[in-house]
Amino acid sequence: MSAHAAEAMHDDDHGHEDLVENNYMKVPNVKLAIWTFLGSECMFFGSLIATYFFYLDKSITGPLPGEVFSIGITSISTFILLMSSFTMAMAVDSAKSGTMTKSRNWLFITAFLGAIFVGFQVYEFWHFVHLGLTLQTSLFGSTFYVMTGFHGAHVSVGVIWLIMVGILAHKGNIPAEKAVMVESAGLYWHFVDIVWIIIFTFVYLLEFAK
Amino acid sequence: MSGILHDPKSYHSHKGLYIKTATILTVVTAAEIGLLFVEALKFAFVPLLVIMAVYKFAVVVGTFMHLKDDKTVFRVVFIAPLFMAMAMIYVLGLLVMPHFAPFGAGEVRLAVQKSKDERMGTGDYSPAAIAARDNKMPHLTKEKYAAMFASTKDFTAGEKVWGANCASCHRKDGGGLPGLGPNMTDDCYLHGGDVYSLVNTVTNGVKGKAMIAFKAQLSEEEIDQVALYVRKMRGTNVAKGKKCEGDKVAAK
Repeated sequence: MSAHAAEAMHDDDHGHEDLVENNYMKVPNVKLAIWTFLGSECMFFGSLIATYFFYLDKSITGPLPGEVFSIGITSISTFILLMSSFTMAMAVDSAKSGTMTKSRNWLFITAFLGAIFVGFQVYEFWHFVHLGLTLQTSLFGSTFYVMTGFHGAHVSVGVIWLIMVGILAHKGNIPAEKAVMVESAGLYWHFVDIVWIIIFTFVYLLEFAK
Repeated sequence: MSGILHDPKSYHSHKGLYIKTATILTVVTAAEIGLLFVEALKFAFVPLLVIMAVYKFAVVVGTFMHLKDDKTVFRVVFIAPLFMAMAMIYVLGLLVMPHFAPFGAGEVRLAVQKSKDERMGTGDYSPAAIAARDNKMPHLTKEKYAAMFASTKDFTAGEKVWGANCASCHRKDGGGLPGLGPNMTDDCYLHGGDVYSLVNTVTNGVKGKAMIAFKAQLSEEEIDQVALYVRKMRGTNVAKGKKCEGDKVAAK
């Protein structure tokens, strides 16, 4: 692109400085930042999951995983989170297609599904505490609550983020050219979902497979 | 130019692909949960569940996050730490699951098994049992065993011990008897097929099974001889012997 054209474009697009393309990588800075952050999140959740498995079967007192986990409830909340990934993908797709109203609706649906998932987790924690499993009870209690608690906190942050983006979309503050704002929130949301895919299989299902 | 300013007019919706992906994810999740109710597949639960989880992970990252078709730099900054995280989980996991170690983890394995057994109050850590696991015995050196293996005298003596003590449960020809002793003439062993394991099994017996400890009835030499005799039965596969029980070992 000629210098002249670039200048003209710059004039046209005041207010998009935050999305300025990384000159070296030729990608939006926001997206690069999110992917790098998600890379570091892999290490973060990797440590929590590794710690959980390192201390698995080493608890001196119960309740043990097999005594507290409920496959039915966890399957439902897992399915809800999985479907929220689909609605999120639709929100990004609508934003990229330039239909911001649709995108807003999908964003709010996604946030709602995420909130339901958090609700399930609150119920699960409450239920486990009543069964005698607290953060201080055993190695299982400590590692389980820290791992799933951090995941739940990530979902909660995601819900807030989606609502904020949804409100911006509702107010018309996200033009179609700035679809990357929805996309960034989406990448974070999908990441939270894949972390749960791993936790659901390795922590819950493998417990029942024993 | 590949501008940052997204152009909605040149964008083609992926709606169909996303619906298809969501359907696949639902089916796989249902399969994961349904699998747990199929008792017949119990032996394959772990690998199947792992494969399905990895598949779902890849589908969400590849399609929903479109990492598959996006810029290389995104793949690098995400997948590199992902592999570092997996390497960390693997290395930490070796401490509790040493049998996944690629090399030289024998000592770690024994130490881990021992600590686990101590916690659970199980396991036999008598010198003979450890020697059997390590395939070495103070009284039966490699040289001594090699000499016994070559002589017919020890073999004949072992045959006699067999006839008097073992044949009643394992059958005269070693083919095994239903509900009693397993077949000793195939390549399968429940408690190890090497001569040291055999000596250990004969000496100490197997707790909770019909195999009693013979250390009171037989001398050390007699046990060595009968272990040699049993070792030489391997792979002779007598007619009408019991079916394979335990782990298969090399035939000869």
